[in-house]
Amino acid sequence: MEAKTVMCSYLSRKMSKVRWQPDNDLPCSKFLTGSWGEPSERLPNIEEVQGNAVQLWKYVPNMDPIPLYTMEHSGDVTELKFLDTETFLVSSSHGSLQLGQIENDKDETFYNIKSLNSWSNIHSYKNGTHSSLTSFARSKNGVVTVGDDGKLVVIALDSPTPLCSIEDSFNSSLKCVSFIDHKSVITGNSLGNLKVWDVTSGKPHSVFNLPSTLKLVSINFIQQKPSQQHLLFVGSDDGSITVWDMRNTENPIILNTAHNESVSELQFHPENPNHFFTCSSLGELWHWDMKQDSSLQQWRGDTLNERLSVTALAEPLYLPLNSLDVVAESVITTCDNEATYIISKPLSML
Amino acid sequence: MDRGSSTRSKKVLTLLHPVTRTLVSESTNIFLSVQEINQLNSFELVQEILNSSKKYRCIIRECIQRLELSSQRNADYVSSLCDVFYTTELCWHLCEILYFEPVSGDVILPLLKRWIQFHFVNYESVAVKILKYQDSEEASTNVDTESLVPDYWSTVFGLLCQGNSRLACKLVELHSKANTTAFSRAIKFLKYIPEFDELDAQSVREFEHSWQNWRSKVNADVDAGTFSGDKNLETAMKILCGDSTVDKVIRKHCVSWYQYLIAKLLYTQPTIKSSQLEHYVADSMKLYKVSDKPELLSVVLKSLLQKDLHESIKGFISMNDSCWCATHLTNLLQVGQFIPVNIHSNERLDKKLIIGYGRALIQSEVFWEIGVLYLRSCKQEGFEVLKTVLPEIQLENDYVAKKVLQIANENNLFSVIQSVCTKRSEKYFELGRHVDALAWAIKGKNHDLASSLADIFLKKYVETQEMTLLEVVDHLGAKALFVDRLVFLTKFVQFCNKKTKKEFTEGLSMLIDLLVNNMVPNYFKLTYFMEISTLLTSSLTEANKTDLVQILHSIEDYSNEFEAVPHNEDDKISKQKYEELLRKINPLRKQVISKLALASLPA
Repeated sequence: MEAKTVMCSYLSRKMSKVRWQPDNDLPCSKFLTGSWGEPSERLPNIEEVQGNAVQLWKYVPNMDPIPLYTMEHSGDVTELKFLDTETFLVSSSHGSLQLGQIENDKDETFYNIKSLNSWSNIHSYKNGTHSSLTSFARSKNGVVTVGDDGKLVVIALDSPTPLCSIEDSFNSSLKCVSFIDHKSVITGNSLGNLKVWDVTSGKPHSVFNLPSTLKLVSINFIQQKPSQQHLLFVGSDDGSITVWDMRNTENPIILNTAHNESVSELQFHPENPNHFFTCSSLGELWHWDMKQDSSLQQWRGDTLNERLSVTALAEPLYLPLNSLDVVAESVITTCDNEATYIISKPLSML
Repeated sequence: MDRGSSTRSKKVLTLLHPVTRTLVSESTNIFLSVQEINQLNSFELVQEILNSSKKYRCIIRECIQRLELSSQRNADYVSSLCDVFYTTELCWHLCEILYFEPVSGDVILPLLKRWIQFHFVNYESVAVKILKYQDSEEASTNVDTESLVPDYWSTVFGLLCQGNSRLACKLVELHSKANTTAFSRAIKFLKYIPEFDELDAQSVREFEHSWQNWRSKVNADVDAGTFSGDKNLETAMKILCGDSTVDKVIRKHCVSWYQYLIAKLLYTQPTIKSSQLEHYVADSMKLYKVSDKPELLSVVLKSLLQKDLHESIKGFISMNDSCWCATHLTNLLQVGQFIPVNIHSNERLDKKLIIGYGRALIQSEVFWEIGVLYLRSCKQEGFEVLKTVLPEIQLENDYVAKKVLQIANENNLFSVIQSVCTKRSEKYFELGRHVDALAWAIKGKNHDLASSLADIFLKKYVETQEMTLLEVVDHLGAKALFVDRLVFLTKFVQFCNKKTKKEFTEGLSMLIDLLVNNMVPNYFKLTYFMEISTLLTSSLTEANKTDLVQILHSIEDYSNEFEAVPHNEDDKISKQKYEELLRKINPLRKQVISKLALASLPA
């Protein structure tokens, strides 16, 4: 196997989300980023797009990513997901959701992101102030979004207004949502509660709570294992990852080797679903091999900072890694030092 | 300039351009690794300081390059940024040579020569062009070089001023008269100019000897008029032997006093030590009329050459790069022990700068997490500042709040933890999101907030008899037990759960426990007794004698308390309330008494 390489580049924004653009011809060479924490007020003398943005980049191995297009985005980007090779959904801390499409000319020199549809202010509080749309999940029929306002909203992509909006009786901020099957979704909230909802009637109603023992701990993601869809991987603020088998929810498996701080995201390797990757707010990026139970290799921030060019091998940064994405040959992750790290041959030995 | 937008980021404005932002992010890596080299032995320390200095300069140069590439847009501003960082790098490089570079035999000029050659490439690039041109036009031999290339001699002089004799020699070799005796003598002198080789084991004395030898030969030829046939060639040779009659030519070919200084020293004092440089600085500056009102660049270079570090740092601070350079360079100088630590106060010169830089980064909004890393490196003093600046960060949403909270937790900044949690709690309270408000109040151990939120839930129950916290309580955890009112609320919710499951007997004993321990808030007591009453009505409830006596006592206490409050005869409202209380409580009293009577009957 060829050796793993790590490439670090600075993107001039803190990215809360990063996603490879799915490509029919492998390998993936373009990715989208969504930023957080950019002030809305403009600085003088700068012509470039300012504020939060969704950006499309081209990645050529051993070179800094080339920005192809920058689209302004109101609020922090809270989730970003491709629907197919061109269209994607992006959600905002201002409570809105947008359906975008990447366009380019024949020569692939000019790129553009067109907004196909957008739903603004679908999550808001009683007094009208917007609430963060924290996460969304997609099925064949539509999209379910959740927010800090404790609501579930059902959206059809071709309809300009949401189909319905339900308030969770738990009355706490909802932080993530995932489909279990075509009939039900599961939500995780800021106190560690996991709730299953029936969506068959189009109007979700809660069915039961999972016996989660988390106390005052926010759930960050619920990720379905692609090859065994009854397995749900749930990551939370205390760094723990719990695996729920939906056929028997009494005894969840808590993965032993946990992160010490909030685990931000988990992504499965698309071709090798026994491998998955996690990143944490302590700047750790871990590669898990499920055949060998716990963590096969643990990559700390320091080994990731290896730069091929000028500044080699910096010390650990201890800044959060917010997001990651995996394709066959590369893992990409983004850090609050405004850097992105692209690891080639992620499955090869260190 | 838009004044409104410049307030928040005025301090680090130069660092907020998309290109210069990478400078901030990237230098953080180097800065953090520099803080670790304190533990190294002295040899490694020197090596690491030099390496780090080079890395810093490397990213400045990358930054300048990227700025130049981006300069189609808003060219004036970008080029002003380029100037800022160009100046920074020029000064930093000199500082690196004078302090961090190991100099064998303290012969500093070879390094200074490289410094000039590195930063002033105009003569070199003209020379390279001439050489290329000659290569391609080889056919036209014997054409007069001078007339073909108008800059020919001035390029030769310029190269000599920079000590680039190798390239100067190549140019002279091109000359159409290169075959004449005068030119071949000159070429020989240029070729064999002694260079101090730091790697060779050559001693300073040996070098000086061979240089003097070489120089006297050039001198002799100049005096003998060997070159008098060609005025320009003669001038070049006079430069080589340090003849002061050609000072004007040197002056003309050096745009700045420091270039002039080095050009002069190259051919008069080739073994000068760095400590002796200061004697020559003033004269050069005078010649360029910069002594009276020197611009910042001159001030910094002068102080560096004079080895006046405090003055240099002052200069770096005044640079327009938001103290980026001053902070990182002073830190390197401090860690490398080039600046003595004040023995009395144990104060480090770099700390103030690091703290200032870190604080400015935090206030810039976009770099606040990086700013924290800088402040943290200053230990106690940094933490003090963190305590005041972290709470100022705008907590737009939970995502940001969690990030601030994690930093506060990692560094045991309890006041920040409390402030963040309280702000979130108050925000959710304001939005009517009481569960989230309660959760944040518990996280921040905010006693008052948690108590008043618990009151809200209980009072709501008084009104509606609905408990909204049924699911929530399981997730509040042990952390919630720091407030009495919350303990009561939690227990009461557990009771409600038991009631739903029709576990009445256990429910009743829970209620009695709370009564006995005096946990029930006054405004809740009536509702509480009604709950008891409902339980007692059910045939599923088993109450023993002691329980009943307890209840009866509590009822008496409660109505006595109510009676003890002085009632004004005219106060209809309180009178009404009292009557209502009696109307509600009396049936319970009777109920308990009759149960008690039943229980007292012999079996």
